[in-house]
Amino acid sequence: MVILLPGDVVQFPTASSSSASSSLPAIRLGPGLLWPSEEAKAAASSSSSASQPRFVLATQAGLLGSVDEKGKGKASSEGNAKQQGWWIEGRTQRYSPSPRDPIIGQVTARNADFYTLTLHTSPHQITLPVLAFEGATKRHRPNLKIGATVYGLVASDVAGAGMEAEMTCVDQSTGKGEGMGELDGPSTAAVGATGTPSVSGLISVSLPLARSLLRPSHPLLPLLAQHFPFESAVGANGFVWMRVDRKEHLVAAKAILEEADRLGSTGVVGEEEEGKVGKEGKALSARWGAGLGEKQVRDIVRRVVKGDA
Amino acid sequence: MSSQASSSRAQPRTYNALRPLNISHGVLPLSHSTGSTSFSLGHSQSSLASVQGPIEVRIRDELTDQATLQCTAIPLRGQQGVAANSFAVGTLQKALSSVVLLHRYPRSLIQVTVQTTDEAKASTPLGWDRAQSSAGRKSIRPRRPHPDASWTMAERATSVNAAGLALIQAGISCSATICAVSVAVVPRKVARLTRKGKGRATAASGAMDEDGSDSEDGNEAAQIILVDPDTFEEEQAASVHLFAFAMAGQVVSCDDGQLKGEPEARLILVESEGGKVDSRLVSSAAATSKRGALQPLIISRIASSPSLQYLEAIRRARSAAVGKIHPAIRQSFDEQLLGSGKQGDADGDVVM
Repeated sequence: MVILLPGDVVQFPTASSSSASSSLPAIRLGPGLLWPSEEAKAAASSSSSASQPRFVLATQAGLLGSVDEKGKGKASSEGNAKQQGWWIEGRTQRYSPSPRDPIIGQVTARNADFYTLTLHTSPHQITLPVLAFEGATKRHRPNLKIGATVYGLVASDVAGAGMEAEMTCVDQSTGKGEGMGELDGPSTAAVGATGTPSVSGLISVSLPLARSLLRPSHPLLPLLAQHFPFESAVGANGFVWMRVDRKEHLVAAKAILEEADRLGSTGVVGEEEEGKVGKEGKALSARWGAGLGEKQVRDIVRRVVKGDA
Repeated sequence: MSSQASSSRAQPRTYNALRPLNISHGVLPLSHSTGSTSFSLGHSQSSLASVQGPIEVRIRDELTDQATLQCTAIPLRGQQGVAANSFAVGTLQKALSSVVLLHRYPRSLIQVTVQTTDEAKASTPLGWDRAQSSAGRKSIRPRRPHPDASWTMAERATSVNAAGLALIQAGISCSATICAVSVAVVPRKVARLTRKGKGRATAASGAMDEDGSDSEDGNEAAQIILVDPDTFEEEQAASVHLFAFAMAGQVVSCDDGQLKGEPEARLILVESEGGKVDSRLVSSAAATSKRGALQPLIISRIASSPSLQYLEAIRRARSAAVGKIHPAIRQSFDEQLLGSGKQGDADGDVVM
């Protein structure tokens, strides 16, 4: 696959190259791609049967990703004409809030109406209205301390680049919390499934890994669940919060996520990370002896939990 | 590039050849910088650039419609002085501002810091008679290290390249990829000593990598254009130049996922020291910066005409940027994203 550099011009498939239909879908651009002019944007955002090639400018370095209207992507060259959404997948670690992203933030300030949180990987603060919790009323409000870890969604009506983003801990259509809200941290005395005091912490991961872990079909967390019970929340801003029974499990989880991150760099394109358990198993097996990804995870857990360095 | 030798004594390079390029991304851990890149030419000239941003900006520096770009340059030896600061605020800032899409990050700060990490002292090549050569000749560079000496052009070129790449590595949107090349115009006897001349190259003079400038052997005072001069060549040069190009326009076709054509190199920065360069040349150089606008020139006539020589210097710098630096940059990101073992699977599906 070709790596794009800033300044490269992406030429979208033309009607002459697509096999069946004569009409091209409307194209929407994600991060890293820009329309060269307003006319080009207007011309391309509606379906057209023109055979003129459409061009966009790449502004970041990375791989080109695309999806069609159903959300399915194809990285191979045939069938690209149907793709509607295009973006550039790179290795940036700066998160910019986009609507409906789940995020994990930490409270830095509070006033009567809202909390101010930091997302650590974003330059700007994010605000959380005090009433944006399940069952919150003027009389009954949550009481978050400074430093508390909160899991929520970026509000769906967030404004443009210059304005401060807002988040919410309640699903705005149903009014339910769905697990959002304060995550137990060192300051709260949480009790785990077995009744013993549990250990919880935040693990920092790269943005691409966080995004890919958010997909329900990602195999890594279920693989982890075969070894020890845990509760986890993934924030698109590059954090995974976990609650486990023993601190060795947390350390093992961190080691596994770091390894996944390291190997995930061999293919930032999402499928690589999803399939990486099998792929990384093959890659690692060349170095560590025969085995699958499951064995790899088992080895790391054993190594950490049994107390090797 | 790996086949080029680094020492001029072992196997000299041709007049237009760059030293071996080495680009490493993500040199500094993420806790210290958003993006960092190390760029080096040969074993003796390298810079490390680190970018922080977009981050919170002080109110007094805040710009409501765009990001504030703050550049710092740190020399290898000594503290930042006039030379380093003028390079940072003048050269680096100007070059980077013209490609970074600052209006996409209003009210934030993008900090770029470049540190020269390696800088070789001039090594005199064999056969160079210092006493004879320095008689009656004024060097444009001070012979001894001087705290206010301006940065060498090669140092500036690696710093600009490293800074541009660190910005891309940090994920900051840019409209083009910067490639900077340094060029020196030296007397023929210097070029003979440090580089391979035409006698050993093939006779075809149309190709970019060959030089045709040796056709008049008797003219010792004739001047040769050298691309990517090392420290000794810069010391002995009549004039040194820095050209930075914004590379854009290479087409990637979605039909087959291949690159097509070449990027267009737009000249965005010109710096010169020494020699007779008047401002008309600079503006004419910028105006003729479209690819193909310059005809291949008869090199043997160049020595007498400074303006043709200047345009020829730009042409060679551009061909080095297009032919060597830009592909090396693409490959460095390729290695970073896909792994050097090409473990990326080209048939993998992208599933949302």
